[in-house]
Amino acid sequence: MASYNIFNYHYRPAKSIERKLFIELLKELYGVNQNKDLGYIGLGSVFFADFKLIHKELGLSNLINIEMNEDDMLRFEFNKPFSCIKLKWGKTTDVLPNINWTTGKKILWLDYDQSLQPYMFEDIDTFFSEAPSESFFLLTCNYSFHRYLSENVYNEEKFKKDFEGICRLDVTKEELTKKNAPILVQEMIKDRIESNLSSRNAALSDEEKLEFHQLIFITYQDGAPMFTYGGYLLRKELARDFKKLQINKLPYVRSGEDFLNLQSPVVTTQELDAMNNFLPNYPSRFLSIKKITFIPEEERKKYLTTYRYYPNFVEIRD
Amino acid sequence: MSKDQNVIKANPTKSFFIDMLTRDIRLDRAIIDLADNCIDGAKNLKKSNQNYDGLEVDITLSKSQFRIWDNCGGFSLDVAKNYAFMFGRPNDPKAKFVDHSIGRFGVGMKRALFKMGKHFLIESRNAEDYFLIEINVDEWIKDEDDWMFSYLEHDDIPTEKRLLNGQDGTVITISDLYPTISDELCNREFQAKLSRELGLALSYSILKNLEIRINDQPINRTDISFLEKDGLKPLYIQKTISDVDVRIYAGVGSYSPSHAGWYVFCNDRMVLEADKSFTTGWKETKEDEGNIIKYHNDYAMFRGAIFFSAKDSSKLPMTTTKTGIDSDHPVFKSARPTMLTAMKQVINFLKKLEDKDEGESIINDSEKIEIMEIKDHVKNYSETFTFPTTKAQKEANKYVGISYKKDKAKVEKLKDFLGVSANGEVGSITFDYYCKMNEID
Repeated sequence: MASYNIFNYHYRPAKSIERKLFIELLKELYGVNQNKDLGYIGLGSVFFADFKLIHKELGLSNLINIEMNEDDMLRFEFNKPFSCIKLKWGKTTDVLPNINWTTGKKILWLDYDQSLQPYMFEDIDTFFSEAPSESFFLLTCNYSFHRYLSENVYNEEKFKKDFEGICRLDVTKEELTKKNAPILVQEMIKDRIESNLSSRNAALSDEEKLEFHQLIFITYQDGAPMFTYGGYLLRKELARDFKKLQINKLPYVRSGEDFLNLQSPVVTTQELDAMNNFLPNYPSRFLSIKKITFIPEEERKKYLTTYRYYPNFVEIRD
Repeated sequence: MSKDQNVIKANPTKSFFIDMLTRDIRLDRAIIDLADNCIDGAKNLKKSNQNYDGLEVDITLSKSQFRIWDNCGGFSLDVAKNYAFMFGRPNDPKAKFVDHSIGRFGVGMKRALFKMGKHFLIESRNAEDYFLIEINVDEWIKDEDDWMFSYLEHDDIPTEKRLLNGQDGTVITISDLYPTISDELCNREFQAKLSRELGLALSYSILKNLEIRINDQPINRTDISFLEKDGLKPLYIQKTISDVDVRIYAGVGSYSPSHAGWYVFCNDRMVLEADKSFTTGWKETKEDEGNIIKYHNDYAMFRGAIFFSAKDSSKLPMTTTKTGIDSDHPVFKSARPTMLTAMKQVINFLKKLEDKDEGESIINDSEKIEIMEIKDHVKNYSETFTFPTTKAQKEANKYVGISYKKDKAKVEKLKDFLGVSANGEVGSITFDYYCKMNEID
């Protein structure tokens, strides 16, 4: 069963934060209402949460949703929030090659709910073979390698067999542990992106060569441990203009091997209000404010890094 | 210390060219190389005129000699001196032979000559120039320092050696053949294979009315065809990569494992036929990595064609034998990802076909379109593959089998408990029970 029947996406706070961070980043890169030739491709599930934001916040109207469960067609048609969303049916590996990539820049969010699978690398291949400069790539998956765990030991041989030709030959048991898995997944995706770009760039002039700028590297755990990785695909000649945007200074941008671990605080709405009164603030100052020390420090820390994006849920009775 | 003391001579020897270079190519391919030169002549002669009406290539194979005759314009003395007979292409050729040529490395003709025999006569007429080169290999090889070929001009050419009858063209006659070559040339199977290969490699030129004959038998062209109808159309992608025009077509043809695969052309000369190797994106061994698919007869309807065309043939990604692609060539490397995305579109469609019958029903009433014919006047093909909807997805794609062994007595007990009689039912019910208890839907 698809995960939209397990979770209501709106109630997953870390996911909600991630979505808002992503939208904010896109606004920084593309501006709002300025991109007639920019299209969004996503896996929106019946909630279409990403699509709603993309259309409302960025003003994009060239939107494609990929959905595998063709049996639920009526449900998807019903829940589609805007008429500008085109529904494409099938697996991502089948649908992505059929998308017309030459019509303009694309933002692709491969928001998988499964753990890392070889087919995801096929989707990476399609994007990095076809997407034009100034496109954005984002991939989310479950990063747990739980399936390779037997009797508390990770079976790296089984893993290497499943990811033959995709992962290094010397992957160790330790790399599969929950602590190290995000780094391994990042490395595998990065390598695959690089190998795609190196082919594609082979005959291009220096200015035309495409480079991938990693911007997002996030982990979070609403239920399952999730991993999100992405960045901006850009012609080399545009790198200087891109640098001027100083995207790297945004607090949630991660361009190296350190990932942002999104943790959402478990606090009441009154507590949120109390904390908001002292924000924005420097971390040390915020954490030493006496009036709110009754809120556990751990929760205050989490809130400090996410408060601008933290979702507020209210139950409505009628 | 004098300058010469610390120098190692690395000059090639003549026997290197004669014995080594000739090993890398099959006889039929060497002959096609000679025919390629005729095509280059035709291209030079006709230039913008698309048609080769009246142009002919005549190949005679016999036990004692090989001859290829053409009336495709011949080459000038200037081209002969500065280009055609040089081993390899000069870096800055004084004489530019022909745009969009097939000859690229300056090795094809010489290699073919040296491969076949020890005596050559090359007669060529081009406008004012008329000359004859005669080479006796045993004589020529004697002097390592002298790489010259001498020639006779106009009236100095003995009448009995004139075969061109006043027309512009070229005749190459090779005699004193090596015994294996001599046997091969009169072998019927070899002749049939050569006809087929020529028909395929030079399909485009034959389409443009060039007549090619082997021992007086005209050669028919072989083409690859895509199938097309409403709702089923090949995709077409055009790109320019480093001054090379790249055109990609991918779609379906009739069910035929031997014809399935990629066809690669360089300046309209086919260099790879029905290829299903790693080069064109198919997985051959376990270690092959990247964006690839393992060939299976389910994909026997796949057809892909990629054309690389350039004014300057040295920019094309072909190997010297023109029987393959230089897969490390930057232009090919850059084009390959697009080829693979194109291929995936078609393969993903073929994967969904239930069986061969469904495949055949889909191509019912479709029209054959020959790739060489659509290449020059491209219809409105889209960059994405147009395909009809298939029957419901294969059940097999949706479900997987699970097999395991459990204690027989326990399974029997469970059968009684569940009120079922088959082992499979026990497996299925216990599976569903686990899912239900863990709220996994």
